[in-house]
Amino acid sequence: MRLFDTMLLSIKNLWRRKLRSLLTIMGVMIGTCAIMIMLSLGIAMNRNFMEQVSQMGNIMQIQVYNYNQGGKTPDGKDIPPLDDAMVAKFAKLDGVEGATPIIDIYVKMMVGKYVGSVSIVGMNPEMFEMLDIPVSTGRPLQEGDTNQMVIGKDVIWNFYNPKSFRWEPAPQDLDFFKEKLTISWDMNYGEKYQSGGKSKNPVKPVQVEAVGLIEQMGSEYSWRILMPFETVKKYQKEIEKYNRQNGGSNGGGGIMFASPMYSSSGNNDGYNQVIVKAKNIDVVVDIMNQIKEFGYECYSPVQILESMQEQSAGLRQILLGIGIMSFVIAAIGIANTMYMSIYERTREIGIFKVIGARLKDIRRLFMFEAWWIGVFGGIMGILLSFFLSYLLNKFNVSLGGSVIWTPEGEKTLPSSYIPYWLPLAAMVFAPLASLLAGLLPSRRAMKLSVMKALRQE
Amino acid sequence: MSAIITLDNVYRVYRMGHEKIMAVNGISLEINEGEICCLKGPSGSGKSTLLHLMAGLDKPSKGSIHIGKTRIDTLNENQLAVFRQKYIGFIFQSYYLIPTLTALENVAIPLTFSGMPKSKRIKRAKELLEAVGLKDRMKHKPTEMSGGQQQRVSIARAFANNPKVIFADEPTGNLDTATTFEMMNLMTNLAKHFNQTLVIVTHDDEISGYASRIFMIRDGKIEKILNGRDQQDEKMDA
Repeated sequence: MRLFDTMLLSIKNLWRRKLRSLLTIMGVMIGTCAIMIMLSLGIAMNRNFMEQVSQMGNIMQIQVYNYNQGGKTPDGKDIPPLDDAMVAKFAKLDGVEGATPIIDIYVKMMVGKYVGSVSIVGMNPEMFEMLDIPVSTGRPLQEGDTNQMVIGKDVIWNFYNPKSFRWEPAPQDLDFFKEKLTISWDMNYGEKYQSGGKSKNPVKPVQVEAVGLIEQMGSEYSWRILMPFETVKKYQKEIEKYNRQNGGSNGGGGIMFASPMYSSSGNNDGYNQVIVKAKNIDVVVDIMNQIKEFGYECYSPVQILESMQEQSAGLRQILLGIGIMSFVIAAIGIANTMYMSIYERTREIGIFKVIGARLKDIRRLFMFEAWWIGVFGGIMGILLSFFLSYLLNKFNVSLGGSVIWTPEGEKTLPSSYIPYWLPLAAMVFAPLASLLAGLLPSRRAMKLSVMKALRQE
Repeated sequence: MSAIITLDNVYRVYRMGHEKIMAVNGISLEINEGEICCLKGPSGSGKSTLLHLMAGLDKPSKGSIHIGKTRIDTLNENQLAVFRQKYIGFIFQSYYLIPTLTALENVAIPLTFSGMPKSKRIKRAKELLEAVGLKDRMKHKPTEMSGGQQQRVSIARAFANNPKVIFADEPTGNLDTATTFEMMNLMTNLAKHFNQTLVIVTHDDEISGYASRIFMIRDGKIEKILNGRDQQDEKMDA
């Protein structure tokens, strides 16, 4: 018997028992839909975690700190300095896109008539792209920049007018590009009240220039100012010199100094912080483990993501379990329908055998019936899933925190997400599982004895 | 004339509890190509069992059955299916048409199983339905036809694969006398026309007249063999 004829005849047989076939198909539809929706909830959950964590910083980035400088690793080795050679070593690790040291200084800054304390991060121009720093107005730093800076928008919260009697914060629309910008290592710079008195060796403020703004709210860079790496390194040296000339470190003689953040001193023990960027999210943990072996501390938002995912894994498994259970019920429905129809059509099967149907033909005929049920049920299930997914998202039925803040404002995360592969997988899975359910009934039909079948009225 | 069906000392034993029932009790016979013959006897005589054995629907407990040169009692179910497809046609007392298919589709079903393409098998089925006089009933379902018409469809179906042997199990049992003669004429004419062998199980006296030989079966044995003329003579004597 030709395959096409078998397929056609099996469809005809389904059509004969419209209501029963429809009910069975609906069973498969609901089973498919249950699995798809449950999966889509889990997938949306994971995606939302990812999005939430992305808000905390770039998830491909690993912050490496050398808190235990000069100490030993748990297995007793010396922790090597986090210097340029080490940074180069990081950059060569598998899956690493790049690595850059970070130096960070804390200085006093004036913007027009407003004064504030800011932290300045030294960073090479090429890192802007690698670290996905979102410069929204102006330009990122470029090769040849010296006293140019890119300013995070939230930095403005640190500024106020020292001349005013009342508390007068700097206006939010203060134009960094037009105002005169200066920085100083003297923490009394620009202040009305000079706490601790004038410094012995006053320092001349340095004039700087704003070239770009980071306006994305919540970004780790929106509270910082970025300047060329070499410039910040130079400033760091000057800060150390200034601090020495004016009597030791912070607060010593009541005088406040600017400080290189995190750095205990200007010795050659390397950097305190290095940023390593992974090529993709899957290797982040792996890279972190390799770096930890040197004895450094690592931090990445991926850790948060992982712990969120771990905590929700149980929930997702339960969801999938419910989905699979409903499909199993659907499969039992298929088997039941087919046993019924074989019982009803026993004589017909006998006739078929007498007039030349091979065993293979009989089995195929019933396997195809199961297959069609799976195909139709699968298609309907997929359509129903998209519809339900739409409703879930529209009415925001959620399994967790679903609203986040983005530069574009409040954003509602979807509670159900159907990736492109899910309907494809369903389209393969539903007919396959139906075939499995049809296996035993089809064998039964095939094995029916002709004589017994014909005798049945 | 060469034998197309050969039975050699065939037994078929059923077990019912502790009792053995000898449905076929050592039958040997030969049926020639192109012959039309009858298996006749009272109910329970084993004539239907004999027919089923010859058609390969049942297996003998002992003995051998050949159709042409093929020994069919040793074939497996798949080989038998293919064998039936090619060489054997069936006509049943209660027609056994597929209720959901039209007359045309019913006739085409054996051709579907043998893998004939659709256009060819539709053409063949149409020819056959015309030959049995159902040209204007092709699109009718079995339930929309009379018993005689249904039996015509089943005759057309039996001839569809152009088989060597056609077995008919009480083909006129459900029909009135007039229709019985119509049906017998149809079957025998078709069989003669294509030089096909026709084996009919019946206990109908009218049918016997169409047969060249009649095997009288009783208690699983051939009681006697009459040829058509003998039968006529017997009647006249009575």
